[in-house]
Amino acid sequence: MSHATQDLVSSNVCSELGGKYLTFMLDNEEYGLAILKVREIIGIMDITNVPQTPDFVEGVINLRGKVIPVIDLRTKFGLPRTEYNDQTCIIVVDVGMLVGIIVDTVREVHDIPGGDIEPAPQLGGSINTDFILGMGKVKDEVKILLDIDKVLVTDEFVQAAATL
Amino acid sequence: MSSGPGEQINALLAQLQQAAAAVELTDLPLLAKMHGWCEQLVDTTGDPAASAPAELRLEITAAAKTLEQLILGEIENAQQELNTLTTRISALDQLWAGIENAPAPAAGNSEHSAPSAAASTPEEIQPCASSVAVPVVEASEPLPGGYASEPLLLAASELEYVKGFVDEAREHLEAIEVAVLEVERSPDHMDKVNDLFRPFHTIKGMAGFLNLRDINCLTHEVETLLDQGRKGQRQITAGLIDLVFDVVDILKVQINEVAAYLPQPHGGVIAQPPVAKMIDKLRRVAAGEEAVSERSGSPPLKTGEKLVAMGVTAPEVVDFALEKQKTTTPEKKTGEILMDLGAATARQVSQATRPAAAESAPKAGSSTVADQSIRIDTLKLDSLVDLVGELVVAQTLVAGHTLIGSDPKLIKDVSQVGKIVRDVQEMAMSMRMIPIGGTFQKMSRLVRDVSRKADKQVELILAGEDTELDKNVIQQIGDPLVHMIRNAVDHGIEGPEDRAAAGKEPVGRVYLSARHQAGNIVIEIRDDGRGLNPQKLTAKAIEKGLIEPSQELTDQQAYALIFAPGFSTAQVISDISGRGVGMDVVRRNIQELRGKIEIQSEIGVGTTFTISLPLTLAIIDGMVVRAGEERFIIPTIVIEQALRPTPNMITTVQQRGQMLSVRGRLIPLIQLGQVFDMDGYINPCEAMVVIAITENREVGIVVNELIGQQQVVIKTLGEKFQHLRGVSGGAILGDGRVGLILEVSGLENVFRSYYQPMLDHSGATDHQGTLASVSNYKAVLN
Repeated sequence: MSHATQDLVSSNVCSELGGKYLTFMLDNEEYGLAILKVREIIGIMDITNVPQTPDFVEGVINLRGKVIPVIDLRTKFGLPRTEYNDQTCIIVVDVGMLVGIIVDTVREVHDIPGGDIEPAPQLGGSINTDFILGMGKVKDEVKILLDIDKVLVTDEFVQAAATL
Repeated sequence: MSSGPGEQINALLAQLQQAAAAVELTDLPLLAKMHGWCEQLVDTTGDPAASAPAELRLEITAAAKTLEQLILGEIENAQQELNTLTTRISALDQLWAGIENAPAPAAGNSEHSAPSAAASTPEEIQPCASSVAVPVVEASEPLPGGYASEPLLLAASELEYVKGFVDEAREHLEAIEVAVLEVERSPDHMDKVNDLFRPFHTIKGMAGFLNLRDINCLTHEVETLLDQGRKGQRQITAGLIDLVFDVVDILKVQINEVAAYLPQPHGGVIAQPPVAKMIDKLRRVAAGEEAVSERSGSPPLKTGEKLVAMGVTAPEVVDFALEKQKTTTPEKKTGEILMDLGAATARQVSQATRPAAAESAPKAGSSTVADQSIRIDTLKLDSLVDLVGELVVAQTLVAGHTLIGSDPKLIKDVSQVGKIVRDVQEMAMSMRMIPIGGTFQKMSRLVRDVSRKADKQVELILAGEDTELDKNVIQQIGDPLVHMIRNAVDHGIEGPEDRAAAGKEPVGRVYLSARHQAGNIVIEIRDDGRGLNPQKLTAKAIEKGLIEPSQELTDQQAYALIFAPGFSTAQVISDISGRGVGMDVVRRNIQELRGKIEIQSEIGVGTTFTISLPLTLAIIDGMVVRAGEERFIIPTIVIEQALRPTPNMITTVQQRGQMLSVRGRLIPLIQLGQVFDMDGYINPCEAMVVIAITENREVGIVVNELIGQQQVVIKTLGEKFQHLRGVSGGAILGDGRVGLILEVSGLENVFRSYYQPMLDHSGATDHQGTLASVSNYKAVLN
């Protein structure tokens, strides 16, 4: 594939992805989340366990009278778990319903133009890149832009065994 | 036909003005006619081919509105309003003539001979222009070809109105059903006929405005018939009432069609069920060309018919009396005339009329009064309830703050805020409450239809229609009630011969009542029919293999058999009920509402079903318990008792499961940790066991401690968790954290899937007798 073609492809695919992204840290990697999906950011709080759920479902919290599920993004991505501390945040996202995602820490909001976003890399078979919208370049750094709907919507939160 | 819109407008305007010159406030028929013309004019002037000025149409629309208000008596200063109206109507002519004369550049079409200058442009003559007038064609002049149904076209801009129309029309149809039943009870009350006339009229008006021709036309024809009725030109007979019911049914379908079209408006055509036949029939009936087919042996007999039925007099005499009533003394009642004729004594007549009076008496008190209300999206109400719940939690946190204790004034103020907050919460909750009367009233129609089909005479007696409960509960209780009322009429109440043989009144009674009781709503369905026969039920269950022949059942257990799936004692499966689906669904629905159903019955006397339901789905009384680190809420309604067992009450089965023996019963113990795959075995002897009952099975839930009883607002966990077993939702506890609400039957199912093999084996151990009967009992009631 020639250079020119690749540029063409990437600009075609990603130009509509340009916009504001909230970035957060997860195991020393920086991820981005389209700001329009984000409802609010709250500090870590007491989470009520829900039985019969996969590991990545931490439980439910009370968000001003609404009970919403919370998932641990580290576990979801197969990263090692760590203790929650005062940096740990719950980002409440709207994916048709409200879901809280637990991240190590929230960084900042970047405006990433479409031209600076490259399509998701094709990594080896063991790494699932379906969740990735693209790779955003901000100065020298690269942020992994997440398709949060895919992360949260595709999975059942209740283990199959429990539905027998 | 060659009449263009222009000519029609001329003719209508002339009629209207003539009438306006002569009309008086008391001349309701003429006012109604004028209203009809106005509506016709609105239709016709709306036709682009008529090229009528917009001002004209507006004026006429306003006039129609005023006329309607005059007819309905909604205007205070009626005479003055009428005078203004007549002046405005006479001015309409100039509005129309001015426009019509001035621009029309086309060749003068002089073949029209309307009273005023009748120039009409060629475009006005449409090939199908006649259809415009169809909806309001005078019913006494049936069209040569009958009514032709037309496909319906809705403009996108109208969709919002149409949605409003659907909602309103449904309400009106409900009102109509109630009104028809009232008219049926007391056909001589003209104001009841008026009550019936009005909603039809409103639907007609709205449908006309939205160009829903079929609905408009159908309602118009019914109106004509009812109009004849209230003017005394037509007797309100049972046949006529049947006809009105038929129309209501067709209208329901029509409106449902329109509603179904709304979600995906393709700007195209709504397929509507054919109404032409009904419209033509109504027209013929109205024109006196066709008689209304009367049914025989209708439940609310007229005085004369009753006297015949009582054997007091002969049908011929009654006919004669009725004839006489029509021709010479219309002000006298049938009974009086019969007395005059010496055909019946005063006592017999009063006997015959008494039940009728008794029927209408309670009705009069509960006559529906238009209440003041606004529509609110239920989602908004829900989030209000959510927020208020949060407010309560926040207020509790503030009130519990350590700083507050030191300042007496602050304590007082904070507790005052607390009081207000709780009042607000109560008010927010009450906004979801609506009276159950609407649902009950639908049952009247059902009883009427089912009893007719089953050839029985059944009267439905309602009580407690004002009882309020949560809108969601009301919506979900409708279907079970329909099932049960059907069963009561179809199975419970005997046929007239059987009743006579049993020495009962020929008319069976079904009582439907609602009342508050100890924080619950109790709905009772009672019939005075044949009652449930426990022997028959047991025999049937054995025949169906639901229980073992050796089993002894108490009466209560036998009654409970009717809730078993596939159980039906009806000898003949009618098309109404008796297929054995139903009561199991009824029980499931009621359990889903977290309610209970109980049966009392006596052979030959009747059966009573008592349903008790929580006031609202949003709140339950719960026992907050702690198991390990987590707190759970067990609904109080399922809790039988809580106790701390002594070691000798615990029996371990194969070292794996535990049973608790309480008063001779063996109850399996559920460890939440095990069922929920969480850590922590709790030794029951150092903790508490909550004994809960679900679908007549008992289970003991082992918990560390009982924290306390409180009312909690139920929150759904969302669709992602809808497959959770044993958990029905979450609730926000006093400290703001979420606690899970246990659903005991689900919990029991999960538990059984773990322990089923163990339970089956344990039948062979020393507890054989008891366990065998437990599992048999399961077979009965499962």
